[in-house]
Amino acid sequence: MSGHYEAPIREPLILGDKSYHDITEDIARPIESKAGKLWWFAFYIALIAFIYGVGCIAYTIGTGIGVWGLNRTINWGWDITNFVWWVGIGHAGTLISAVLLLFRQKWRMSINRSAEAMTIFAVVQAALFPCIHMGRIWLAYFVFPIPNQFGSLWTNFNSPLLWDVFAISTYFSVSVVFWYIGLIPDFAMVRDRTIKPVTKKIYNILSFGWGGKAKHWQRFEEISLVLAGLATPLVFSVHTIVSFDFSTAVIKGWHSTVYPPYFVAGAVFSGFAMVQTLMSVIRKVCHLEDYITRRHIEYMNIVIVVTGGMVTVAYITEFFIGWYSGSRYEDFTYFSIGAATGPYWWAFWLLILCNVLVPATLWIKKLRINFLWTFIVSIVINIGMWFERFDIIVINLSRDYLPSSWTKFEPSFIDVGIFLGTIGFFFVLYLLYARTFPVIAQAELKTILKTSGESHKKHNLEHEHH
Amino acid sequence: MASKDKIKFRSLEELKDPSITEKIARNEFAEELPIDEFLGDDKAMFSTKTSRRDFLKFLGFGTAAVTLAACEAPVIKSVPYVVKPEGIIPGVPNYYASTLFDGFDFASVLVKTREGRPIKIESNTQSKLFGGTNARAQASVLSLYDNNRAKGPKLNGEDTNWNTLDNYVKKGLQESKNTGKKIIILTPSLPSPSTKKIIDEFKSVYPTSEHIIYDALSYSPALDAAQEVYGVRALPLYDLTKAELLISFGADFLNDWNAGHLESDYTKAKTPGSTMLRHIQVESNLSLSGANSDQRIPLKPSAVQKLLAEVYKGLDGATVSKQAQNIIKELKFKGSKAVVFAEGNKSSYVLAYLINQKLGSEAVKKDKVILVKESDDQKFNEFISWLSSEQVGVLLNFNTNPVYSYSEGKKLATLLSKVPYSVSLTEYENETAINTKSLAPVPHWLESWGDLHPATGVYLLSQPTIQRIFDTRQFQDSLLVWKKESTPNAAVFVSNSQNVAVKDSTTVASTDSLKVGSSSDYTPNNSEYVSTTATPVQTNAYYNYLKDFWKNQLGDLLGYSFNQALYNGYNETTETISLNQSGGDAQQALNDIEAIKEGVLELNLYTNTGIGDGTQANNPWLQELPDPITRLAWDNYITISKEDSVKIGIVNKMNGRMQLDGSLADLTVNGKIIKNIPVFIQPGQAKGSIGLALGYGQSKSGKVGQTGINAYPAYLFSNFIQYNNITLKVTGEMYEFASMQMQGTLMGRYEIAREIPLQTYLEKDSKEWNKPIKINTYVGEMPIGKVDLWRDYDSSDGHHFNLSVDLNICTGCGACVIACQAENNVPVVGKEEMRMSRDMYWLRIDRYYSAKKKIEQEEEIIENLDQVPMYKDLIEPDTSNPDVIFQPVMCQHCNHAPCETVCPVAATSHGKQGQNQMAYNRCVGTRYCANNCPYKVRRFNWLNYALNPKFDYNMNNDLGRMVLNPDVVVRSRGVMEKCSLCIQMTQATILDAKKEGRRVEDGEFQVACSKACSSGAIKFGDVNDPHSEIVKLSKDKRKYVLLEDVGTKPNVFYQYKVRNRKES
Repeated sequence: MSGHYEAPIREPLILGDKSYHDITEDIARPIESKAGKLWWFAFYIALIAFIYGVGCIAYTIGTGIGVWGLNRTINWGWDITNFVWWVGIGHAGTLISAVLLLFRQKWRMSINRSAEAMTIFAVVQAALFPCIHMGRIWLAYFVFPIPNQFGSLWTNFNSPLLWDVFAISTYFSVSVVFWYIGLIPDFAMVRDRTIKPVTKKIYNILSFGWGGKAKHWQRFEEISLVLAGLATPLVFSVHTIVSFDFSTAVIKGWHSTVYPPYFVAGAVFSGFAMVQTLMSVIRKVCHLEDYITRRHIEYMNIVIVVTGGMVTVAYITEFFIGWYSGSRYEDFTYFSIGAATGPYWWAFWLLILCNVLVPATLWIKKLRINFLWTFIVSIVINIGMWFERFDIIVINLSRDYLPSSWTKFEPSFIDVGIFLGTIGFFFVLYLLYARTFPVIAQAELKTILKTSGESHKKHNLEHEHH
Repeated sequence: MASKDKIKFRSLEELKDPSITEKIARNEFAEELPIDEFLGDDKAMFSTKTSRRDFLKFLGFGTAAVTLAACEAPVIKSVPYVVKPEGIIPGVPNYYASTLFDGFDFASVLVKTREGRPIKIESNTQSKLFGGTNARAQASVLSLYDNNRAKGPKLNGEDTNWNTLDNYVKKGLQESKNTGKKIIILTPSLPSPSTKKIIDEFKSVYPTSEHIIYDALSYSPALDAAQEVYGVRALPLYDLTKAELLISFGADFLNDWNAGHLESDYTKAKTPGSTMLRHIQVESNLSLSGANSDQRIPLKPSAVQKLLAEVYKGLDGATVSKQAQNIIKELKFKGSKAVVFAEGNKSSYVLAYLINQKLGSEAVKKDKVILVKESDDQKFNEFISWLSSEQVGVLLNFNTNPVYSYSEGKKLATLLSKVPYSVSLTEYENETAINTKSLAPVPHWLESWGDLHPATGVYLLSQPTIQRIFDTRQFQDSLLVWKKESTPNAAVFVSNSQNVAVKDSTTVASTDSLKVGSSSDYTPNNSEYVSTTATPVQTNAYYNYLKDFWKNQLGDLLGYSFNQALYNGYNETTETISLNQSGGDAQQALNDIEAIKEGVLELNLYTNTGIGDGTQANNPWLQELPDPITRLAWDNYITISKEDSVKIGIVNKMNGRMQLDGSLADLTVNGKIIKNIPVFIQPGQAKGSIGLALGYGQSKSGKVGQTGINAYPAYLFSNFIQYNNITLKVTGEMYEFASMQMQGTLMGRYEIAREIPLQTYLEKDSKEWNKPIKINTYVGEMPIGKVDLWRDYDSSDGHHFNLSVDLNICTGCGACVIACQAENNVPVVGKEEMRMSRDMYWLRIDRYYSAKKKIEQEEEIIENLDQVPMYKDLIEPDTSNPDVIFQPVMCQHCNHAPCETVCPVAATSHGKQGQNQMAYNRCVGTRYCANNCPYKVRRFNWLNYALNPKFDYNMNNDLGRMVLNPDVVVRSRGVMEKCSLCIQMTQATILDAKKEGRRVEDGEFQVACSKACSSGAIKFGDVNDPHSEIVKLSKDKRKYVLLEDVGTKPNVFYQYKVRNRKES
């Protein structure tokens, strides 16, 4: 996969004068050294948020869904908004590691590990919401087609919610396997370096007895390719199916054929934004500036610009078709004049600002390669994509068919608490991951050191001149 | 026969050695237990030392035991019948004809009982008059199980027994008789012939007795006017089916005006056709009648009265204003087919009666009058003066609450305390009862015997359908006891068991445990009356009296027995009167109206459909029932016009949850201040007028009854209308309303609640105005019902149920909503949850106002359908005078239900008979179905509403839960619920027919709402029966389907409203 020639005018993917051992040292450092104050600070904050969220969930389960801000017309609010948001975030990982692997994009190597970790942790958060949004969570097993003694009682295979169950669980398991396969050589690296017996034992088990033999490498490459092939359709299927939750419904603003591609684009958009956010942090905290470079950031920003553009086109389509239908029932869908001027005007314009206007600045190269601006834009997109889902769910439901049923939604503090809790949970997992897992796929990265490393590039260039 | 030398053995071992069994048996415990060692060791036995290990063992065992004990499941006591009562089959309801009369409402009803407890009120379909049940009648069964009712006799605030109380009363009566002081029997209108006879007999024993009739809502002006015009002190009986033009001057006749019961004739008269009734309402508040009118003229109260006077004068040929001329023109055109109603003081009624006489109105029945209201303000004022001059020796107050409902209630309270002997015979220990010396609680009407003579020739009977729940005694029984002056402890009491209805014995084993027994302990101050004889609680003296009375008075007239009469409930004789004009001073009435000075702000009090005069204010079903017009629940409030609100500085605003807040204001009426009344801006409220509902804000009849503010202090001179000296001052604070519907208009979606002008209906083909929706497909244009992604359900065999809702007939009264709530155990959620838009109603009545762009211009709007609507024009209702349309919405039972496809666990699925069904046990509560329901009829149990102290209504106490229908499960939290098309009722009908081996007749199938709808707007039936009424309705040219273009194919359909706009 490597060893090919790369044009010297391309910016290097690994900065500085690195040897293979330097890379090993750099990647293993966060695992082997003690955690810094910043880590502990972040961890405690995340933990507190997580515990608060657990408390809110317990309160919900103990008292009833009535502790949320929902009502008879708006039966989903922050619960499903958060679900779709987290699933969307969990999209970039597989795209980066599977699709980019198939397209042989080498820049993915510095980021795919963390992106995949993010995917898995995000899907964990996402999976939480369909469970806790149930009125009777203790009967949640009803949604699985488990043979039972209740006669011919079976799940309803027409229901998009059931499709969700399968889509999410498949996506989660394939992502975990894919991620884990990639981790094996790196776990072996940690195992080989560590001197503490317990740690060694743990990494020994985790690394499945990796020996680094040529046969091992061959199998590793093969299984990676096979899994990449399997995972690629999943990238498209998961959010397509999530979009079916809405597009197969009859509610105006939901019932829309543009949803599947639009949702997939939106998911990649938000997923890449989250990767950008995490990478911006991790490259500073773990001192990986040499591995996550301007070039990586720019590539990801290009993906954001492209998917953001697709999302914008979808927005315009929704707006136009709704208006063009002349149907009075389309007056207040989430892309309509009614939404822009109605009671949720702020949510509407926040969405436009965050998802259309701000990301458009990335067309400018100077901003595209600016680390700080990238970080800001990525946060803005995360907010914008949350509001997109909020708008879809809440605005459309709040103004449905019969005007007599119109209501509005405002979250209760429990709604907010559960959302903060999942953010806390996500970062708890992520911070633990950053301290125990090799955050960059160093084994893979080493394969491009000779072609894309800065010093090697320079060396090659000099060699050419002579 | 076994030979002696045969060896018997049980095992091979025993065969070998027969003694082994014995040996083993002796040695049952293989190991010797060290009992002696353990018990013999005194030192160990008596040692108090506990080793650490033992301590931990004890601790562990103790903790585990305590934990397990705490885990014990709750014990639910259910007591089976030891001897099955005659006529009761568990699981099969019994129906008893009875009569609702609670002092305010009255109706001929059927009481449905299950295992001896009444659970539902239904109208007596065999009654020709007064058979309609309104929301309050439907809800009155819950008032029976009200824990706040008075539970036993009291004397000087202490619990006592009946004998002690009787001695006390008799002493008072005797004293008054001797001293010549007055004995006052204060009752509401009491049209009971037998009770009147008892009172007469009582009067003959105690000659100083006076019977004073006091109604909270006085019908005195109407009665006095009738006395003047017809020479009869009764309300005229109207037959609106004979009318083609109805002009109402402020009379809310669909509510309590003229004692109600006008809606079924009114709706019959509104059958679309060339003779369809045209209804013009001239009024200030937007009333229920005004909302149903074809043309509404909003005027402030004084202007309404002046217009009435002008119309009278104009009919005589005087020159009058344009507005009056228009009305006169229409009246003259219709002549005897027209009728005029009016509300106000006596003069207003006199003019209305005279106009009807002048027109020769056929709608006024000449042979019958309504006798149910007997209010007499003059007498009551006399009573007040007697109180002031301390002439009253004894006061027997039966079921009135003047301290609460009289405008000078506070003054009255101090006067009452000066009466030497006073008894309240009331259901609640209310404001008046706490100001009387003793309390002799009376039973609820469902526990009472009674008769009622509501109209000429009409006799209704009531019978108890349950053993008295509390230690109560009927008013009549008390009078029978008290009128026997010489026998202080006379035994008129007969044992319990005879207190039975004709077919009924109604004894629930468990009710006895709920009965709060009379307390025999006493305090020294009551000692002089204390009786030592044990007193039976029940008596059936009045039952015997009633039976004899009926035999003697009516037996011959009716030609059948008392039992037959009781079985019928409704009995009619051939008695008639002749109602003729015998007087009527028009000039004085005109002068009186002329003298009305127009006020800056005029107050028009009213009663609403839920609370009425406040008799059932402690009924949570009625408090939660949203007002049909304002759609606000759990409150009364001042209604004000938009323009006046701006002037005064009153605001109504919605918060982020679309919840309404309104300014609080202090209302001053003739110097009396009523503080902190919330103000609601009401579209259609006449400029310069404000409205306020009576019946709220009771302080003593329970927590629920405290809702709202008492407006009776402003109810002066028995007139709803107060013209002068009215000010409204904003306090600056805001109040939280609980509104059921926040969006008032249709937002240009006119196909939801459809209406057309009568002219269009008559002149144009239905295809023009009721266009079937077609869509283009690859095979050409297809009607929307034929285009399908799914396979159809086969509904060709068996029953297939459809429901028709006629918007032309629906008056929005809300009886169906309460009937549904009672039938299906729909919980009460309280004001906070109502404000959160979390009502649990399976059936709601949407109310839409016309927008600034009037529905009148509908045709024009349909033509210009492609125009982008002007949001502002559509979203704001026409505040000056909107058209109103009511639309009951329940589950539409779609044949292609959006909810069914999205439920992941198939908890909601399609029934063979067309219903969309909910399997509560299967529901996991994803709420996807509710989101995907275009009609938003699904209701989620957000919290536990039963047995939850946070929802302290009827489902949170043992007594209140007795109202629950055992055929319908009480839903737990986390479960979705909705209209089931009363499947428990249709299944019962099918099974009954099956048992009898016959087909189900048309009209037999009923659901709670269709049964409760006295106007017949809701019809239910089997469309697989080709001769059924529902099939005819489904082919009616007015039929349409709600949101047809969604393609849900509902089993519920609607009929266009037709508005008679044309001026004749």
